[in-house]
Amino acid sequence: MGLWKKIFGEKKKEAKAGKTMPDKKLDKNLETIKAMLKDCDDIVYREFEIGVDQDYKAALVYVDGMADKILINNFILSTSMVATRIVEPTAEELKQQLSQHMKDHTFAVTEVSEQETMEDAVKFALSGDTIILLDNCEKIFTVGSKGFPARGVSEPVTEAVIRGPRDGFTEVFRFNTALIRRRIRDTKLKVKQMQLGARSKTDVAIMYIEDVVNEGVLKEVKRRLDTIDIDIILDSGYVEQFIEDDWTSPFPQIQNTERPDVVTAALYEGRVAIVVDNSPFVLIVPGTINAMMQSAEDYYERWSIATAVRLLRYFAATLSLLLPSLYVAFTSFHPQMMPTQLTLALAVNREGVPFPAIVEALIMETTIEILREAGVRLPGPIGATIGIVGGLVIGQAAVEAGLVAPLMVIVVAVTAISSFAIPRYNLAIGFRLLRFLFIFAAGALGLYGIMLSLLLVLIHLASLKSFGVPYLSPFVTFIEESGDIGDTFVRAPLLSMNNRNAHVNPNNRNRMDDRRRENFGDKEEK
Amino acid sequence: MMLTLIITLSMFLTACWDKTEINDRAFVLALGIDHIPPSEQPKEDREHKALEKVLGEHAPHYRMTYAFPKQMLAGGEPTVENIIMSSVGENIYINERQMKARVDNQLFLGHLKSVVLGEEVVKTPQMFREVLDALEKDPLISRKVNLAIAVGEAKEVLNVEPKQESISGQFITDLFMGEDRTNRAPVADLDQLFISLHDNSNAAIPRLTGAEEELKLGGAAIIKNYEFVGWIGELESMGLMILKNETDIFVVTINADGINIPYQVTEIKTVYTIQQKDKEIKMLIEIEAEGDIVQYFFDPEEDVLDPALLEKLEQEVEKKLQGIVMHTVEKLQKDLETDVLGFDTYIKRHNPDLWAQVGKDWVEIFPTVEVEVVVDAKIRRVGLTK
Amino acid sequence: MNFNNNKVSAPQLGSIILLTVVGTGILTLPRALAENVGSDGWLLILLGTLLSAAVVLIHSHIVKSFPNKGYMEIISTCLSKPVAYIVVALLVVYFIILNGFLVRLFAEVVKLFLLLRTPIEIIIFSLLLLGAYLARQGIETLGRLAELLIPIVLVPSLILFLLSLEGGDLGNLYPILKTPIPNILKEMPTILFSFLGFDVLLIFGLYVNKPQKIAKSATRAILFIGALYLVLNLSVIVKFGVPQTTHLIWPTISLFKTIDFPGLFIENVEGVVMGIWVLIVFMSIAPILLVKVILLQDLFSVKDNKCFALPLLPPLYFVALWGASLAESYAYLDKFVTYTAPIVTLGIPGLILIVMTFKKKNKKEGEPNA
Repeated sequence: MGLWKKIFGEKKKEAKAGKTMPDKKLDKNLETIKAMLKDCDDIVYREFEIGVDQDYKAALVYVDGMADKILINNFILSTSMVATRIVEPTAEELKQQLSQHMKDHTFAVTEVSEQETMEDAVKFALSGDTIILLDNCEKIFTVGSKGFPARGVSEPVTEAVIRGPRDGFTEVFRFNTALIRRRIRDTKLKVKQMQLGARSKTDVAIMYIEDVVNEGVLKEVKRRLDTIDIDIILDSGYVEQFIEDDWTSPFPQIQNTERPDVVTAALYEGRVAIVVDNSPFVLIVPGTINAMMQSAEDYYERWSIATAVRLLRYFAATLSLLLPSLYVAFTSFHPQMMPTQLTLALAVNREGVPFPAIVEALIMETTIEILREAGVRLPGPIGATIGIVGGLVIGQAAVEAGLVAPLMVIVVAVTAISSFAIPRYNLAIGFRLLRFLFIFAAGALGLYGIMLSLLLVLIHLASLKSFGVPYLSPFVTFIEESGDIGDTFVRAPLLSMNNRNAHVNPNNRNRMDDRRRENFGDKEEK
Repeated sequence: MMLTLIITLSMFLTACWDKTEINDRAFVLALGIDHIPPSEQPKEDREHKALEKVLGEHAPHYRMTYAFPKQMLAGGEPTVENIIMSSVGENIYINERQMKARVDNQLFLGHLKSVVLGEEVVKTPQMFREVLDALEKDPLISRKVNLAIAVGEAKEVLNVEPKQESISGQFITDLFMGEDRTNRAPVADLDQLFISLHDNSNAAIPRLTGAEEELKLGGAAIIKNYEFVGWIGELESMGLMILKNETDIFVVTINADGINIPYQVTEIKTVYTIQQKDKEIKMLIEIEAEGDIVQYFFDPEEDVLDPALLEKLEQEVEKKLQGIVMHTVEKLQKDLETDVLGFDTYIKRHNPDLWAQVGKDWVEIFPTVEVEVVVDAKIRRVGLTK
Repeated sequence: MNFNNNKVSAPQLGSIILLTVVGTGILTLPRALAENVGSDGWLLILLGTLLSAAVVLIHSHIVKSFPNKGYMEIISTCLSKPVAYIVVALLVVYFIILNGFLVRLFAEVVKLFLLLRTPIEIIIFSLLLLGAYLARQGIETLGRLAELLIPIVLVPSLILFLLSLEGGDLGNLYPILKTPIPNILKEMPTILFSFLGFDVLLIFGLYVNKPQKIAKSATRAILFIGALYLVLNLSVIVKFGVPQTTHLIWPTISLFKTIDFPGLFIENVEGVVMGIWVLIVFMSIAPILLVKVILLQDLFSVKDNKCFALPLLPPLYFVALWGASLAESYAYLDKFVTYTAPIVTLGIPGLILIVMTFKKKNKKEGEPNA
């Protein structure tokens, strides 16, 4: 654990100031808890008596709905109330060591811990555990009894694949870490937990592979997480916005995913995962635009197919960024750059359209964005219908009414579809926003405007860094680290990806040894 | 930073100097340029007379004819109309401006495909050079534009309404284009012409002849020192193209034993070699042709696959090709005295020392150069029957 | 991990040099060569490349010998402090003038081919604003952008060169080696000016994380530029021949305009050409802007250099609009470069080198800390 101590320092001793120490008297303790949880009508207080002679008072406190009632009934209440009657030790002994006996012999559950202060105990109760109070005992037990309603593991909606595992993260923190742990039977996988949010006390875990992780990034993650001081954390999106490098940028600098396999792969690339309770989206840092253009499936299919798909994806991203603005530039500014036949056809098509091309583009782009937004908010089947009906009907009607040229409808449709080919929704949103900048630039200065805007975007992207790693890696380091190109817009055969990506700067770059040759490489010679 | 942002934004929002919607442009596909003889020049009105004192004398001796498809709404449905309009002015650009007063769309030369020059224009070197420079300077006009010389007036040629294609500019362009473009007129887009004219101020430019409802591309105008010196016919153009390695597929007809046999050339290659004896320069032109016999005779008495017959036919082909080429060379040497064959370029490149001696007087020397044409023809295929 | 914003890798510096140099020379080089040495331009390019590579080696040697020292510090250690102030101030002026003319030429081309009626002021202003934005982002962004743009610019350019060869005549390359040698030597300045811009190495050298690698990367960049110029020159000559080339103001653009691409969405590749061209020229203007910002920072010994980017724009803008016409701008540029460039690229570094060796000798003779 030397590394951990080195990085995070000694765990701070619990400050006792301002905290209530448990009293010997059960009633007093119960009063304290009731005072703390005043007006919380969902708390269950159950007082009962235990022991051979039923002379020891005890009580348990839990939040109704958060705790597993069956577990409490069968393994706490029934064991305490029934089993303690036939217990062997003498009453005198029991009086001395009641708490120890209860813990060691009575509670038939796995997680039992002692709490030093009342506040700690209540915190546990609020996360679904059960507090057990014993009379004449200064110790407070909490028993792990989390049993709140939770969604089961289901297929990730935002990152569906055709081939590959179909389990996705859920809102339950522990499920999520378990889903990752399930894939890595490696003692080097470390899970460091902390709680963020002054009031919400949301569980957050930093996960990494000890001897692979880039230690600089790890240190920086910890440092930035420590700066978060907010009352409540509702989703990993909160954490993301607090720790990202440049909050003014339209580009997401931290990758999020619903897929445990993606996190696992990232961990072994030397990245760090941040799991936040109540969010099915796990954050991966450092994020690069390259990583966000990849889909998990790329690695499960053969490399030639994956390469073709990735090239297509980059092409689609370019289209979704540039196509409407190119339409504006070419039709309004530089018709000489289009094929003659197309130009003539377009001129005929646009005859009678009352707006300049830029207004035309803006109208259609805005319409399609409204459609998209409406489609997301509406329930599943209706959303799809709205999309189709809206797209088809509005497009057709707009053309027939002579508001827009038919080619414009095609351009808008292709652009919209292209932007959905970008695997990450939040990256696609960035591209969508910038698309409007490009349309305006094209409307003012034609192709020159587009090129200047492109340069502007590229400069911005080049200036971005995510946790010390250039956002455009490995495209901006391809001369030194040409091996990294194997996992960019191409996907090299797995066999040739011997090394981890250098731009993440992992501790240990060696990934595999090619044993194929020694095992069955000589087939032809025999 | 805020300030620059505001400036940039306002710039974006107000800027649109170059914006012209695509449907507000008139895409000129073909351009005709004619010389107007002084007698036909429009009478000057008073306005002009008064201005002449200030501006100096300018004779409006150019007539530009623009052919463009015009898109318009007819009963709510967009349609295309073939428009041909002419305007007279002192130079090409004045005309373009003048046309603005008569066309509701903005004339746009970015998609210009062909330029047709009237015969009179090339007969005046001054005008021809003016026109050429205008075409070369304009950033919008592509160097791939085809240039042709009209027999008579360019306007007449453009006014022909071809039956096959409703847009006349498009039709002229199509004549130049395509895989199987005619081999009866030299290849001449502006790029090649400029290169040739910059090199030795000679060129061969295709000839465009207009009839009632048809246009024909064939033959060529020979330009010597930026001046028109004469026409060459279609067969001579073919000879020229063979010499300049610009054609591949064409048919020559040979006659053997009273049978007319078309020989389709599939590959042909010409190589110049220079043979110098003292001051005497001799050009040896070696031509290698490959081709098929595409027709012989139904139920022939002789076997077409018989090597002896093939040999005989090959000799006929050689004789024929040699005749065409030799005739072309003679016409260019003796009649027109213009080196569009590239002899000078060849000597410049491969024998710069010789060029240093003869270069200055090449115009005089060229007609005296002795030329020998050697043809080697091969028959590769004879079709499905023998 | 590098959380600072002031280090580039040696290959990134190489990329910066490559783009800076190419932007200036690529436009007019084939014409200048055709005018003066006919079809033997390739020989001149080879000589020029070797010579420039040698100069670059000198520059990188200087940078390497003074680790963690800016150009101004180098000058002041070698040639005393007041001299350094004067030299750096003059350098800033030099770069402003050079840059201004380049901006003007660029704007003229954009105006001619893309925006015929847009005021040239707007074209210049928008470009400069973008350059200032990049200068504010600092050297690291510049380095990364350069490395990113190298394939984006070069791959399509090479494809264009290949396409442009269609219809060309290899015979245009004849006659070979017929230009008299004095003529070739006389034209050495022309070719050296098209390599102008590699002097950014002297200023950016400080920011390279592995200084010992500068020499390799920089020479590689120069050789690459040489190869690129060679391809460019050969393509233009093969396509147009010498007589036509001498008549073209921008032979490179004309070359690409002849590419015929029937059936493709972009029938004539002019759009692609102009797009790439904007990238190239921007990348030769922006680094020099940053050079000025860094020099000014040294001059006023200020820690934060961001504040210099915007104030530099007005002088640049005025220099850009100095010449009344394109011809005048060209003439000014030619004159200016002929007199000043040798001093900047050779004179000052040469002086530093001499002082350096002199001091080294002194040290060897036993004078400590001379």
